[in-house]
Amino acid sequence: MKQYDVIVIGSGTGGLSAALTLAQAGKKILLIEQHNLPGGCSTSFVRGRFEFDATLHEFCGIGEEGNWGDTGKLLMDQYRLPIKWYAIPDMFRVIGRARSGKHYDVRMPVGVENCIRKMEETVPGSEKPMRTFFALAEECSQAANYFYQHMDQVDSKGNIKTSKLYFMKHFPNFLKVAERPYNEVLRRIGMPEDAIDILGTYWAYMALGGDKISFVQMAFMFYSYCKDKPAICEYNAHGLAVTGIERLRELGADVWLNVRGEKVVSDKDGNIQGVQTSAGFVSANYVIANMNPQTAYTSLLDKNIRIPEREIKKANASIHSSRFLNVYLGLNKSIEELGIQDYAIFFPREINSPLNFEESCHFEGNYFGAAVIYNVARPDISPEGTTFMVLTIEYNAEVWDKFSQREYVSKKQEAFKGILDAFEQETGIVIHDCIEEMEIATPWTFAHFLNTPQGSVYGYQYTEWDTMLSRLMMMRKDQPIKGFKTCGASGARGDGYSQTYFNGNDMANLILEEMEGR
Amino acid sequence: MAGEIKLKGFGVKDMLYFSGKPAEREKFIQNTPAKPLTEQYETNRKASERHPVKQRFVIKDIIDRGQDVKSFVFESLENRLPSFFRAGQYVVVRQIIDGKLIARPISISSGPEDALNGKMEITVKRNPNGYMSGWILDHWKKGDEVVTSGPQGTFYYEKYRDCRNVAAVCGGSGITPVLSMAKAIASGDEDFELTILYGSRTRKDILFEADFKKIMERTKKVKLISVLSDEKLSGYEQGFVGADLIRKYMGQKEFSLFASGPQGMYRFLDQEVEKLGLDEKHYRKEIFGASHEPWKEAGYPADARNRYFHVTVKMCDRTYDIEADSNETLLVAFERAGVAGPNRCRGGICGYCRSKLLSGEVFIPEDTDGRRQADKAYGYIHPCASFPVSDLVLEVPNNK
Repeated sequence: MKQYDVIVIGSGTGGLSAALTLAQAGKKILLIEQHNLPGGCSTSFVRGRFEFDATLHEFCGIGEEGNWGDTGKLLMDQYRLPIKWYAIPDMFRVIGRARSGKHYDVRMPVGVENCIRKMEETVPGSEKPMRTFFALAEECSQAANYFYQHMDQVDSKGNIKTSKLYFMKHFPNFLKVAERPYNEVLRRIGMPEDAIDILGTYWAYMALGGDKISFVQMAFMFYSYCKDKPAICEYNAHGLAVTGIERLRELGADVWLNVRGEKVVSDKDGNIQGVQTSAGFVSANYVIANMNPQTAYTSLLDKNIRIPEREIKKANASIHSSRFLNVYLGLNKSIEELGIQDYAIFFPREINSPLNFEESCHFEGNYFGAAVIYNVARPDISPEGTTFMVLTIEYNAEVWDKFSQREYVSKKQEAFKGILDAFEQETGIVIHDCIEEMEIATPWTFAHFLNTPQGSVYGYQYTEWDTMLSRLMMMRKDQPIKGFKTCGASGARGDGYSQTYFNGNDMANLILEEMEGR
Repeated sequence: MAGEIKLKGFGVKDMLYFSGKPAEREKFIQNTPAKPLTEQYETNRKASERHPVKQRFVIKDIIDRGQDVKSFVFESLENRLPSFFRAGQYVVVRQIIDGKLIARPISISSGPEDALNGKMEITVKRNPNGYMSGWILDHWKKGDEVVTSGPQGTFYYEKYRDCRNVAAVCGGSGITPVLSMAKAIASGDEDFELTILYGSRTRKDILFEADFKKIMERTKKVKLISVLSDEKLSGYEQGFVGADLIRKYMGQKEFSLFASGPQGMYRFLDQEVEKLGLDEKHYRKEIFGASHEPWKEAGYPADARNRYFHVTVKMCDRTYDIEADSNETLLVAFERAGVAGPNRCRGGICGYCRSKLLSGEVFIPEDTDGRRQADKAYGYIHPCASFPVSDLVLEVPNNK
């Protein structure tokens, strides 16, 4: 029987990242994955002559060779993954009516100055508040970096210790705006109302409207996309996962695919002894599970491992965040033939993030749609003369639970028809007659492949009480079980490719500290 | 530029609001009851009903269809219904034969509606060069337990992709997924116009003739044209199903062509489809299966034929040394040695058997190379459609 230092259960981005950090620290790692493929969400599938990327729309914070952004630094400099990146030419195009009733069709360019100019052109009077907005975003970004570098001290309440004086001196605005709602801050810095609506376009990535999401979260993301450009990679998300696995092999880790982690096994005092897997028992004293804590607490940990009451309360208090209907389309026309110029198109009808969020809590009347057309950034992603695109509907409540097995397919088709019609009407681009291959993934599909509660993909929803900063402050307290951590979208840094890579890295660092008895 | 701008209208209150956030979160958590956590949500329950890892059945009935073909009617064990499926899908049957786990994809020949009544039927035809089909026909009896996968495969009608008019060209037991589609149309679970051009050698080789008759009495959307190659009979077309016959029955309508049959039929049909001027969108094939004669495929290294190679298979912490016949796929070699990894389609397409080639070379016919781009770049192969052309070392996923 083999003895490992750490067993990582699940090879989604969080698990993969944790395994990479630990293997680089010289630990003997076993990574197990329940599927025959690594990656979790970071995967792809083949239909006819198309390979469909399952979930990667755009990476945040990559930057470019010689000037990596935060995520770029982690993947390229720290993990040394040989990934080829493709920058996406614009941030987004958004089409719809603002709350004022005025109709907009805006293509937002990358680059701070371009973005300011575009907003002033679109909504006159925006320039000055846009400059303030970016200055605040930059300060938030620096404050966040300072915070990340000082996460190893804990105060008497178990929260991460930060020097208030340092923050007051260096990041005074951050302290004033960070946790205030995004739209409120925009309004208080004099942003015109229509510009506020347009600046809320990315709400779907945070799964909370601009009236509730903390300023720091939306501003930081908007700024990162604007400054570092959104990016996708060669060989898509599956390639990203494979690259990570190959790097792990180089570092001496073992990777077992199609193996389920069934139980984390402990001795009578709850000290972890190993993992019972579908391929037998494997010993290790430390385990990281790339899963929602609720799943771990209800099915993974054996009875001797004491789960603190606060963890049960926390899991009950938390809300499962976004889940999706994704339509993958292989079209037998090129983007030139179709007249497509934009990589990411949002067509919410109403550009109004609080309303969009409210609508996303229902099956009917959920009109917020997003389209990603991969060929715009990567012309060779599908055969010549074809296009690969994804249409997405976001749901922020468990609305797919009510359908029967028999009506399931017709509900998929109904939802697809709704978003297809909206896309064609809003953009004027006709695609319904050139669909060569298609697949529709619903919350059931995600529940099946990811085994996440309700098929959610974004982990726990941010709420006014459960903000990213307060989660980060409590990151240690939120992982109280000795020798066991969970990582993934439910982690402190939230959902998304870049965030889950960081979260896996955070959890690996906590395990390293425990191993070294710190 | 941090801190350089002076914000108007923000002050101490905002800072206090910031500092109070962690305490607010803690208070919210502490005020939430510690009631037992939900173990399974409805969405997850339905997803696992739809996509079970395994389904356990008991054989309730066996229907002899003649011509070495039998249908097996399954009823589920364990108080659950068979998974509802898309007409045209298959299940992977897992069977231990001589102590070795063998698996085969077999199309579902019942309609999806039957699943709601607790039943599912598959139909097996004896393949004289095969292993599993003969074993099933000779051994399975009423009351036996059978383990299958959930429904698999993508050979089904898709409303917003395919034309409303579908011409299904079938040969031999390739009729079964299309029979399921016809049943689904009759039950209202599918809605399209299905014209079936079914090729058989003689009338007695036609499977399910009476079943189709019944379906056509129930719905006008299904039409069966039997085409006999070796017999002339009134009421039947004579010859092979080619462009002319397809044109004759589809007329000027726009249609999608679905094909399901033996490899020879697909090869013939590929040329006929060119005559019809159909593009890829309008031509869909059921899984082709691995090549039976890889040495006839373009690019095959001639000196590899009729040889045995030494293959090292790593599976988790176990290692096996086996022999592989170069004329058979690697998956067959694994099965012969009793070390098969997971597999489903056996035609290179679904990727479920994906394995890492650590050293050596394999031959992969282009037609059945369904690998992902990154897998090609990083040396992953699908053993179900790969042939050894040197000694090999492979890492294969666990199969439990």
